[in-house]
Amino acid sequence: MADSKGFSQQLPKAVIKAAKNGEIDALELIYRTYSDAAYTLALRICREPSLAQDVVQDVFIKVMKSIHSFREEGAFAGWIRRIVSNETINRIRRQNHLQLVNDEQISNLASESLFEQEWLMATRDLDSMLGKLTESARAVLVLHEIEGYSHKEIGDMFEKSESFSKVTLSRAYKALKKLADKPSSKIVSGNK
Amino acid sequence: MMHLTDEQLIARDDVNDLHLAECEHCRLKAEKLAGIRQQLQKLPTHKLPVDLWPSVKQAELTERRKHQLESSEKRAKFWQISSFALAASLLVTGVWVGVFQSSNSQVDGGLAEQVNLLIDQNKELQLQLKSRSGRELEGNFEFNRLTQELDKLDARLQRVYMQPGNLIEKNKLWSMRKILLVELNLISKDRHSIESDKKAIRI
Repeated sequence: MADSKGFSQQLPKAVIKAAKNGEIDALELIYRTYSDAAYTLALRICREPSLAQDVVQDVFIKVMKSIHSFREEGAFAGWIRRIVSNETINRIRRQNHLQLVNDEQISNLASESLFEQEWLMATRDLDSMLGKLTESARAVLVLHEIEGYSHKEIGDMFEKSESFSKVTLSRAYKALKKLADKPSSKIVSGNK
Repeated sequence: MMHLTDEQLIARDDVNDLHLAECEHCRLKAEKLAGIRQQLQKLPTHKLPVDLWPSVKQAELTERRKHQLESSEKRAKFWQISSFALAASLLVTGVWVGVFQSSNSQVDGGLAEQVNLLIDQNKELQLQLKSRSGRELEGNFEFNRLTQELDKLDARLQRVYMQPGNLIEKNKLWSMRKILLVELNLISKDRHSIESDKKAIRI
């Protein structure tokens, strides 16, 4: 199913070329191919459907406007994904939703017990648990662990250092484990 | 034996990987982290609840129209400066070559005379237009479109005068140019009247 492939879908080079020449049909095909993936990524980070829709709309307007500057040696889907990530982070930064970790907090973080059990396997609804994280924790977790961005790239997106991303990710895992340890998030035997 | 911290497990590097190769305790923890990462990768995708393409397309088309208008205004401004010079150079150089060549043939005599008459009429219309053209016409879409047409026609005329003879083509192009200038004069006349009326009302 095309929807489940997200940003791993690839369009033929001819489509990208036609879109660069301004052909509306090719631009529409780009939208149809990646709009769900863009929405999924934006929604995972911001958790607000209306904000995620605004992000998708603005992203594709930007894509139309700047597709001529896309260099074909890179992955086209990756280029769109980067625009979605940046746009979402910028939106939530503008709304002051992000709680950023300061440098003093960094030194108090070392821990050795996060991965002693497979606590996430026993959780009922990972998606809703992610919704309970702070926006910065969720954003870094999604960008690093799901989308595969490096800490350096994530730091750049937030206009912060690489260690900001590392620390925020570590805090995200700690928060997630805490949520998973709560009795309400465990799968109750026989209650399917 | 020292073990890796959670942070070191999350952000692995070559040194950490060397430790993992030797330490079963940390390797087990790394495997658990890999399991968590797999769970995260399996998160469901979401379907966009509304089709945003119509609004994206509309925004793109609006942007294109704006861009077209801006470039047509630029061209119109360029034309206002350069077209008179271009026409003047045609009249002074190319036309005289053409007239001289055409006057050598009695058969073409009538047509050459007609071309000369058209050139005079073009010159007159161009002067009228020059006296009326002002900034108020810069945003006029039709005026801009016609000046672009005139621009193209001047380029064709230049090419025709590069070759000897071809009086029929010259006659055709000067006639077309005359029609365009008449239309441009009509637009600028209307605009001029509106502006005069506005001034009169203000007084």
